[in-house]
Amino acid sequence: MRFAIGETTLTSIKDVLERVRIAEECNYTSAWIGEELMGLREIFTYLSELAIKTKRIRLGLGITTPWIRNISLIASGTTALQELSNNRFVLGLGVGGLPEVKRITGKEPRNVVSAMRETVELLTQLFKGKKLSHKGILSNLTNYGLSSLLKVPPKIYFGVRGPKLLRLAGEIADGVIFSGPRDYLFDAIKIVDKSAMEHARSPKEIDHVLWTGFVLVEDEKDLDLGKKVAAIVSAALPDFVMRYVKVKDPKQFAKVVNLSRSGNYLEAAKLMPLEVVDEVCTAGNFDEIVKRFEEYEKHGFDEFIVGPPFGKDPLKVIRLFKNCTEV
Amino acid sequence: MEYGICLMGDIPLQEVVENAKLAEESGIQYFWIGDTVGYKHPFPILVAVSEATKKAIVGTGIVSPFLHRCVHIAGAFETLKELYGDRFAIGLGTGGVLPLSMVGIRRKGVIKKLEGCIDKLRNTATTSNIPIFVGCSGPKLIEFASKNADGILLNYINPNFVEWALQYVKTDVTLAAYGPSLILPDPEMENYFELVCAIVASEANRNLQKDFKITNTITGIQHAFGEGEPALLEKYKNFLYENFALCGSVSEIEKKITSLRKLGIKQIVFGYPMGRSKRSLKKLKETYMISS
Repeated sequence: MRFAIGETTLTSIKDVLERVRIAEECNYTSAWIGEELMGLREIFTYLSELAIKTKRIRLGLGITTPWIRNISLIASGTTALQELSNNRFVLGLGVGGLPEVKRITGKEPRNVVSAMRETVELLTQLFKGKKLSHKGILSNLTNYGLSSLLKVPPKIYFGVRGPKLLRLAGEIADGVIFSGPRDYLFDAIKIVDKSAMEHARSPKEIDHVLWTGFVLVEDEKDLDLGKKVAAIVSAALPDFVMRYVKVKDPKQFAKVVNLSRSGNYLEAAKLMPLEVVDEVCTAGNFDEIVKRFEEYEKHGFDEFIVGPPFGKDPLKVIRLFKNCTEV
Repeated sequence: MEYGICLMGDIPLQEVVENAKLAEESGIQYFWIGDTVGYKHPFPILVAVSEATKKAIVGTGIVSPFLHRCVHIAGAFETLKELYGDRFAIGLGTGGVLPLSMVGIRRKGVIKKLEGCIDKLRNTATTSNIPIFVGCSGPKLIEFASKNADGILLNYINPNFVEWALQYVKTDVTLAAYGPSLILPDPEMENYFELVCAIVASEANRNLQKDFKITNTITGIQHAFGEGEPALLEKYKNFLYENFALCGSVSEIEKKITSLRKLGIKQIVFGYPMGRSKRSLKKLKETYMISS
């Protein structure tokens, strides 16, 4: 079983550096860093520090969105990170949180499938050293190319949820970062793998990474942390994914989701039904979590992200899963 | 006088780091990381240079808010400050019309854009105390920067041009003169150097061209440059070296620096390709040109 550590740019870079170094010592395969679009820290800067201070662990940007960065910056940032990390960088792309993207750009992302395809195709050409002129949905380039040729082009992963984007991932992505409620995950992986086969690829060519809220529960109080995570996750889930969440009292849950979406996470967490925590998070004691991951593994998931928020003591949690990692 | 140097991501980052170390040992106090379309992203270079050096101030020199969202510029410096403390400067500029057009960006409302970004950086708690420099060559921008920024990176290194630019400076702002630099001879680097000088000359402000009656020569350089034939630039070499570069022997460079100091320039920024030339950097160290 492959483990990865997950973080976002919301967390102090110094704390994350310490955790990633420990994860590396514990033979974790990857460190995935999510870009908080409205957060203060910048993802390429953040990952550069991790690239310089680590040696073996794979470093994934999970994810950024081409709707908020010119493609030239994604290309030049990737080139720099691939070099600094000695070819350990993985570029994760997605549409990003729609409200955040809208707040930053003033526009709702449109033509997302075509735009994602365009972005991946352009980046792939640029990483091969091609000079491009292109007038497209998101990118307009005139005789643009990268000055440095990459020794190893980075893998491109998708962090997406909708069926059309999942199908596109099956067609062109090197890997997919999945997140969402349990039953949704099982459907999503099927869509990706089916699309892969339809495009003459083996599902084994695609790396299936699972990133759900993760809480090691050592006592009842830790469940409060799980409820908070569920509140944050619920706010970000699109309606078609939300429908996968099985709850005893849908009306009450709708109320909780509204609270979350209005940013009132604390109140939402207080009212969050426990079954939702179980649906959208990997929460439990060590044995329960391993058992859950084993179940996911049977469905085809390859890599499992530990954290955030980990539990009471993130370093302890990271060390705890050391024994499960493949050496 | 303070001394800065421009580094860029057109060479392996390991070399950039080695050059930065060598430059700091020679007495360089500021590293300005340039951002040119097609080169490696400046933010990872800021991290690598901060890690490799000890005390020098590290800044963007420059980045354009037309290309980089201001939230990302603020975020980069927030991250850097968290890691390496108070040793940063933010260099902003408009970015060249041609390079921006290559990546689909049209420059519109230059002053408004820079003003908005400076406001954002000043109103963000973590970046509010990081000095902001603005790269300038035209009268309006110089005046704006003198009223709104902590420093000006003047895109001129010829004392006559600097003196011309100073008439538009309205406050007691920190002034840096920034231009292509190289200690000559440097056979390996000279062709490239000429090209860099030609790029800078091509973008010289129109008012300056008019006032110094160099419009025809600049047009000739633009044509030679547009032909993509560096050999055509050869006949402009002396003009470029004299007017748009800080180059020559160590004593010739020192002479120009003395003239700039007399004009009130507080920082000399050795522009590209000095930061790429091991030969120039070693010479800088051996001659104690700037450490003395």
